[in-house]
Amino acid sequence: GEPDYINVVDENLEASTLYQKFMGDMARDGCTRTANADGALAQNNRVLMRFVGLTDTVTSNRAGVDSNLRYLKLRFHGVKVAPTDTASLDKLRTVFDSAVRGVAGTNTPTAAHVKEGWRAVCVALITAPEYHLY
Amino acid sequence: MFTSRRGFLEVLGLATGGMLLRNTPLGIGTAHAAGTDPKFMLLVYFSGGWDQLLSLDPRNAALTQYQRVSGRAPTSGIEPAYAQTAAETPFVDTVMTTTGGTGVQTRGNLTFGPAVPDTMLNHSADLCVIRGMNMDTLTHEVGRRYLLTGKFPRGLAASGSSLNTVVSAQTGALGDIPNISINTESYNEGLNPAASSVRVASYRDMLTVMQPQSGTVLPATSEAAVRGFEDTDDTCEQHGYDVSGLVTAFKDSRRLSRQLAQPAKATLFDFKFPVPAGLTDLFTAFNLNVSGDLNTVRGRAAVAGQALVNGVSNVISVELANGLDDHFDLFSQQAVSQRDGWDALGRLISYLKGKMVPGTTKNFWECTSMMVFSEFSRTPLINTREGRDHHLTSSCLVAGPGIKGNTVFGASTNTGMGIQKWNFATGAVDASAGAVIRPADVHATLLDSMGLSYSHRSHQTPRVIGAIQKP
Repeated sequence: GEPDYINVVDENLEASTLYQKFMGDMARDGCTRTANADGALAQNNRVLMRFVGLTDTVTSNRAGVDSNLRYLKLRFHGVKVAPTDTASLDKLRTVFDSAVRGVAGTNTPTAAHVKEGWRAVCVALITAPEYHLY
Repeated sequence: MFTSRRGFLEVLGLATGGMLLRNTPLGIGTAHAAGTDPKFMLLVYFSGGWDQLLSLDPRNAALTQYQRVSGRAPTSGIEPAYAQTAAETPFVDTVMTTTGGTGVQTRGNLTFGPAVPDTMLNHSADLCVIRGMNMDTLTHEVGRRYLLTGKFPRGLAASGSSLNTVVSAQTGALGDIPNISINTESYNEGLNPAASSVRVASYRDMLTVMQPQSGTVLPATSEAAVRGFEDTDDTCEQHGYDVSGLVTAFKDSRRLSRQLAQPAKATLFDFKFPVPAGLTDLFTAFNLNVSGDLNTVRGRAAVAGQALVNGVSNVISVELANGLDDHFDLFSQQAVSQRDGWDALGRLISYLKGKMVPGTTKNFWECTSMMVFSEFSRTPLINTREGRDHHLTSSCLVAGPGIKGNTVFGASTNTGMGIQKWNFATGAVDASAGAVIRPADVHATLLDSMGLSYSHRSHQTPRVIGAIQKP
């Protein structure tokens, strides 16, 4: 988008469909790498799973999942969600839970299944308008 | 691993950006709406400023007024110089022989210069040549953008939306990628984002656009969860940012981006050797025989053809010639570059004629409107460096279901290839009450012939050239 001042003199700021496609690809690729890397890191060094265990789900540790979602919302969007506000996390929690259940099926979710949930949350956060409008 | 959003994006080599205000897009449809004639658009650009004597506005080189006598410039101020070109270009030499030394190739009512090959001449019955068009500029960027948008640029910056975007917007932005620009510029000023073009340079870029990048495919349930979030996410922050429609535009383009990735259709552009079974006909049609051919203008034309006939896009703009800015050493280069472009275009038209639009009795060419242009032409006299400089009076080529074929409108003067005034209804010279042909007039004529509005150019007072429109 940067102008070369030969053929283009204006910076292209349009969030075109191609930009969105590449952002989606980037989110999926970056979140995959980040989620994979988190598994080998100590909890306080993780990016996506900072406030939850590697096998925590909505069923087993809802408070932890919500804390982690608050942290991610602050980290990715700069939006602080109050500790008592759980409604604002509903949609992201649904993404996490749906993604975990989708890969776990009727089985007890493993770390791999939980990782998928946080990967999906990561993608949802990066493709949201708040990530780009700052 | 990533300490900030900016760091995250920098690691992946992608720039961040902001947004501009755009109108809400129209709904996404199929390749064409049932029960109506589909409308396709082909915008073809010859880059650099063409020598129109070699193509759209030739002169009989055998006439004395177009020849140097005793080393002096021709009395007409027009020097076709076909003989000099023929001395360095075998195919021009062939044309000179077959035309008895005139260099003018006649097909019905149309005449073409020696750079136009048979692959293009064979379609003369469908073509309308517009001559004597005033470009009002000798600057490449200005001329190019003037003809793209039909409105004179603001300095170097394009003004208004380009013709391909206008057509895409008015026809409902149909197709997987409604508007594709192959190595050309495209502009969207105030029209819905869905009509904006996706700019590609070659078949490789089409693969990049239509395929998810490796390792980026989520399981179906995760993908559904993310999309569900995208479709319903509605926060206070978004409302705050959306005062000027920014977030609405962002979400609209995000939704539209989902249709870009079409892995199955991406194989249509997987040009390689050995030739994939499904691409044999295409490669034959565009004479693509070795890997190097894929990156030529024929390769670009093949991308355009594939996109049109497979419902990928309804509107294509493509650069089919470049390097035409021959201020020196014109004789060995100009005709070759033009010929390659005309050949590629002729093959594209043939390809479109050979494919039927699904659900209709028409082939794709019968539903396609086309404009072929360059930013201006070149001086009719040869300069001191065996080249031609920039010239205001140019030509263009139009065609379409609403345009009369085998038709010429306008003419440059036979002295110096200057501008004349024309009666747009009758097609006759009218020095007193006529008007000069301008890009805005060509745009209005083409859009009107397609049944589309040209009101966005009303401030240019465009005149429809009724003489070239079918009743």
